Amino acid sequence: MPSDDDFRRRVRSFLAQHGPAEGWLRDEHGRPPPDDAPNEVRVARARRCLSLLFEAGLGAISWPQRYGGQGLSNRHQVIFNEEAAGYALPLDIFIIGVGMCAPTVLAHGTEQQRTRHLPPLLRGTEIWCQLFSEPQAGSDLAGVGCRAEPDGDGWSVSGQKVWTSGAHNAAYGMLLARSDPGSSRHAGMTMFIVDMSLPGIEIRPLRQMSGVARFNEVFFDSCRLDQDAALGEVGQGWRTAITTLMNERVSIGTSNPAGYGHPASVLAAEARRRGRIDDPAMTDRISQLIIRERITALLGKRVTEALLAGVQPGPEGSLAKLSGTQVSKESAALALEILGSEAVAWDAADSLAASWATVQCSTPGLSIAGGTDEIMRNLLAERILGLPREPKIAARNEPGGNL
Amino acid sequence: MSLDLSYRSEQEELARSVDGLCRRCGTGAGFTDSDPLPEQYWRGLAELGVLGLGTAAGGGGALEIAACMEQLGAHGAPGPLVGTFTAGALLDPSEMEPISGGRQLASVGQPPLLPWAAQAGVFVEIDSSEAWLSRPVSAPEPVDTTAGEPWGRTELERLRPLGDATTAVALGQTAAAAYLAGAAQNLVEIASQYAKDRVQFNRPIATFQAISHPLASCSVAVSASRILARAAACALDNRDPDAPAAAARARLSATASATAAAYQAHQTFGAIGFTIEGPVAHVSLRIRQLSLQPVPQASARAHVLESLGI
Repeated sequence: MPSDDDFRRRVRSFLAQHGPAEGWLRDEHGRPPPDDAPNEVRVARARRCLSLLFEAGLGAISWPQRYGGQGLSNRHQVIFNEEAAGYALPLDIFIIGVGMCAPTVLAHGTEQQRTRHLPPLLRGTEIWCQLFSEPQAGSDLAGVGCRAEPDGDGWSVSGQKVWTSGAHNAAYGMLLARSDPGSSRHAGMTMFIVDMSLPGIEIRPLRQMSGVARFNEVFFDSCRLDQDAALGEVGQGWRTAITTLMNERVSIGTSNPAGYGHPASVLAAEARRRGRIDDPAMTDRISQLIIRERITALLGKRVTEALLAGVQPGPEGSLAKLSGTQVSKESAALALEILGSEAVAWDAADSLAASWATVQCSTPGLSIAGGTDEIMRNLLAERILGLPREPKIAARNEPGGNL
Repeated sequence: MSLDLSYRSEQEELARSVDGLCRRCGTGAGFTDSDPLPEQYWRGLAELGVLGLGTAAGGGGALEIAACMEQLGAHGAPGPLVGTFTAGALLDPSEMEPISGGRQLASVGQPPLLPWAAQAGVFVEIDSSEAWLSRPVSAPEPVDTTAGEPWGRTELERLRPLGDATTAVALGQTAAAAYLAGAAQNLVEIASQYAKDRVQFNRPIATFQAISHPLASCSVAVSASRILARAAACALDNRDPDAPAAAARARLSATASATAAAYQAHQTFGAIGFTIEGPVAHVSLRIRQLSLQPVPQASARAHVLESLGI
């Protein structure tokens, strides 16, 4: 295994070699290049980035070699992340697959499923999506109603999923469905691996107020799955889902994809350019933002350290996510204060100017996607502070309730 | 001195007509997408006399304007509304006539970035407390905006001084405050209704205080903003020397409460509020854009401080 220093040098040289030509450089203020290319171009750019990484032995760094990874340690992955943070690698579209689905397949899949699915998933040749939320099951994921009924030696799936990021690009999806028709709440669900090209699946895009259409509604109409499509034990879907969700929060809490607020350094530069930097109220807000950015980075680092120590992701991921959301909102509010109208109007050809508006339109979504602020606070109250759960209200048809 | 801040019956009737017009024209999400200013709607406002309010020819005053703007805000209705009322307090009747009649749009602001510049026929430049009738030195360069309004960038050439703009700006601030307060009030109402209808964990989400308390807090802030907007309108109509400061207070309060209400409406509706088809997005985008027009927050703050002798 390469030494930390050798590995870091290798990563640096790779990034320096490819960064400029591939358009992975951040500008002088640390801003990523515009992310407004058509979907096919985004996918092609992402795949090319990943394939260059694999050519250089830097893809799926800490994954076992038998599943297509490099077989290196988590520490090597962290070194890579530290070096890559100075660049803008276009890997967003793989976050769900590599960050959430792959750990779930590794933790709960059969050996056959791991060998079949992990290598193309990690290499990005097969993009994955996560089919969890439904119109009636958002924060309350245990309310999932999408049915998977036994059908001969397989399953027949019917129902609707929603807010499925990247379903339009996905080869496979991880589907949470109710496999025991008499069950309710957390029992009786099963996780499935779904080939998204199967008959009986319809994908419709949903347009967001930020102008992009990156999430979807997915409809299942008697879609037939083979018996071996179940991921993890039949009836244990909730347990499998928790693995994915924990990884999701860690992934969101420790990453900083486009659409998040501009860093304090950029805001300070804009304030200086507009003669606002001598205003004490302004410098106070910028300083507060710098402090909170630092706290968020440290919370992310703590999660990373825990992972390195072999500890499974826990509520710390929720803490990091909540903190990151607050920083982004404050950054967006401060941008409005500093830029005024320039933050909501931009020349169509000037993508960097448009980034101010993108942030204004995107930040409300951060408190919702990947677990709402309210659900994060519930997790922290219950699991870190040990506070009691919300008082129960008796559910219909369930004396005493079963929440 | 007693201060009656309720609208009189004729003001309420005018506001109801505006509400009816917005409903007939289907003011809402579609506007952002297709035509930024449908003719039927803007002509309708002109026919109701709304676009001439506050002028000698049009009659009515700041309270009428505030009453209409609360309704227009509740619908997230488009158009250079604030600019129209600001211009009405500055321009000659002959210059104002085509604007009040809905045949010409007014762009009022500080160059180079000007609201509705791409479609405007009349340009009014405002610089601190002075105003000028102006014209663009070249065709305004169109820019995209979050709310889909056709703004543009251009330098202006000053044609004629319009004198002191303090009162006109105060009227614009009051109009903007009333619009924002109306928009926020509507968002709090639809979010509260949704919280009662939406069931998660076997109960309406409104039964979770994490949902209901922030909505209650928003409601307090929005009520305060509406009262401040009406107080500013009364002060303007009474030619009270405190009117500019009252307008600045109303505007600052409304910007803060509308922004907070937009966030809380998004949070209550969840992902559906984030889609362009949903009931929140178009209002929330307009709130962000309008809250910055026609003069920056900083100058409103300066007015408030001045009124305190600071």
